[in-house]
Amino acid sequence: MSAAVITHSLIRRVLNAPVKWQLACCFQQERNVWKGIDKPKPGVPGTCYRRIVHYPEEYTVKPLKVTNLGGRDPVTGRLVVKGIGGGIKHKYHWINWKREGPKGLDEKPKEEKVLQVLKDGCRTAFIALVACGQELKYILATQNMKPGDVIRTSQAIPRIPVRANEGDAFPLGALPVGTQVHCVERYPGYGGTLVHAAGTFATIVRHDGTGRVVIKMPSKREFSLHNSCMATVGRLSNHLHGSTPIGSAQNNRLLGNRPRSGLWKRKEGRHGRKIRPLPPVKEFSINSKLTPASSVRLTLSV
Amino acid sequence: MRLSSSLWAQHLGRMIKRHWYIQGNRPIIQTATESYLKSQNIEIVEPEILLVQQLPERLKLNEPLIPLPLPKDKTHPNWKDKPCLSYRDHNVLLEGVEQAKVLTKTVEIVDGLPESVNNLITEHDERVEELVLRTVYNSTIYDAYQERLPKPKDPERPGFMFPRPYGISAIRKARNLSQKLLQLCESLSGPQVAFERNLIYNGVVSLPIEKDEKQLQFELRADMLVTSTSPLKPMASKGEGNDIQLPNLHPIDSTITLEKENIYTLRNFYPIMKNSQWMNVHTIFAHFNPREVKNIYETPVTESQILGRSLLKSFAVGAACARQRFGNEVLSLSEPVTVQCIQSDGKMFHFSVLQLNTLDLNGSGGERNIWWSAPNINLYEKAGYEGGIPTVQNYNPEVFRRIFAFYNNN
Repeated sequence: MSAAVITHSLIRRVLNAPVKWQLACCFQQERNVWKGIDKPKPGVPGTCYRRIVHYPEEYTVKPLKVTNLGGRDPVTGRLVVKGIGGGIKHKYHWINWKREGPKGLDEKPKEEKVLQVLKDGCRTAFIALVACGQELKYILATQNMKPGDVIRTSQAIPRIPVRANEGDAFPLGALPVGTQVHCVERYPGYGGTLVHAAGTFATIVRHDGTGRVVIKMPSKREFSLHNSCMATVGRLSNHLHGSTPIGSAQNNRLLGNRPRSGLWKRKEGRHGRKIRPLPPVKEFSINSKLTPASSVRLTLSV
Repeated sequence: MRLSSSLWAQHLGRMIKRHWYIQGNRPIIQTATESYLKSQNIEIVEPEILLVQQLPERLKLNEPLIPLPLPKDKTHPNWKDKPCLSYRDHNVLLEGVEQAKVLTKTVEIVDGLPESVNNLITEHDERVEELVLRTVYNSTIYDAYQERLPKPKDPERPGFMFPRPYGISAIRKARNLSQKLLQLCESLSGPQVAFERNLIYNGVVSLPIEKDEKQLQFELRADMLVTSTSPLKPMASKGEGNDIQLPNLHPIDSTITLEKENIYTLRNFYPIMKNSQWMNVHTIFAHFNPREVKNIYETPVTESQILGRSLLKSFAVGAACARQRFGNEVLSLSEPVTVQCIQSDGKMFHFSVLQLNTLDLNGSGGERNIWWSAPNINLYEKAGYEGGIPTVQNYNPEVFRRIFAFYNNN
């Protein structure tokens, strides 16, 4: 703080009288007032502060407009994630995560036709445009999916496991052990949320007699799910994505990633891999869903 | 020794504020107080009711001079519970020709154009060919109008920005060509034919029609509508296509990608009065504007979808003309209505002829409409400046021969 500013602030305090340059001093002091702001922490699954998608009220196959966030929290505007920003702006293809079909055992599965397999800039796996009746929708494309394919969907669980083709969607309880699946629902009717990345698949490990099915995730973890959770059969498309190098630093910028911080050290082991046993089977059920405890913010003014 | 008191070594204000801020976020602990008070019949009041001060009422402004648009919900005066599936100029059918055939109950009896039209296609002498070529130069190269063209994009290098091109847009080329070639047809065929024809620009037709208990409405524009004093003669007998099966679209419905609307008005409209001398539809020129016509999912429009557009436009214009002639309730046409259609995007030309036998689209049996369609042909391969010299590469004289045959057909 300069001498002039100190003098003026002293005059103001002692004489309690307005001074000509008072405004500048006040402004500076106001700037230094500490204000509490709730800034989210990075690393929460499902939020990466990359983009906001402007969803309309009804489902549509029209590619949607997005607002890129560059790692900022849209509520406070503060930077949360450092490595995100720039890149090519892609429109978002809204994928219909819910595969719905007939529930009765005596009904024929719903048939849908694959029209196109498209590349989506916002995700790694390819997407497929699918039509049935008067409806159009996008789903994630499987490895061998091609235009003209007919895929089936049924929500019935027969006594004998079904023989499913790639792209078909059935409840986990209807599929035989060893089937490769993706787009698996965590809770029945909530839409497929597990296994979305290019080239990945989960495997059905065993059927527990109690109406639950255990699947092995791509991370080798085992999840126990309700047997009426829907899953799509097959491995996801673009399986070379994981083994394709980005190529150059510039290509990484085109993908919307900023340069790394340089803090990662291979030999120090702080960020490195630790060898630990796999956690036990995780059970997903609506009863075990945790609801965050409600809290209240106390303020001096009402 | 200092006389003044010692200052605080650290300014604690910020830390205290931070501490109060963090501790001010308290989780709500569920205690038994509420249930106990309830058991004692003591009324519980939410704290917000007592503590939060109500804001004073806001000022109400007058109604704006220009009334606000009506909300697009059930309170709209044109709201109807039964949705209408609309097809307009910017729309294309998902499955292209196949779907258009099912939608309009149309079959193809032979490949290519009908025999009577094929007979009219003759070679022109050199002077005429030269005039046509000059028209091509005029329309696609020498037109002095410049506008911003669509952004070029390279899928291999998505981050690369090309210089923005300026020039003649595709729709302008198509308009120029259709107008000038039609004028040439008029001049060449002489007054006895030209007096029988009339021309309407942007002839709008509206055709509400029912198919399998679904309400459809085609609201389409014939960019240039050539009409004639006498109707075109049927090119096949009425029942010729009745044995041919319609394409199978399973599991897709024939009305997919038509726009579903609940706010609509149904109206029959044909741009010419019934008592007009030139009320019979003869030929429609439809322009394909790639900036206007798009798939809802934004991938490029396919060739089959462009051909399907020809069929639907011919159907809508033909059916609107038939309703003007025979009344709005007509289903089976006593006298078939024939429409010729030329669709162009300034380079590609598609020629087709539709014979309307019936306007009854229900079911898949009964009478069929008959369609003839020739494969797309290009008027030229490339027209533009090559090293500063205006050039038209691989000019195809067949296009004008067909337009001339269509114009003279009666």
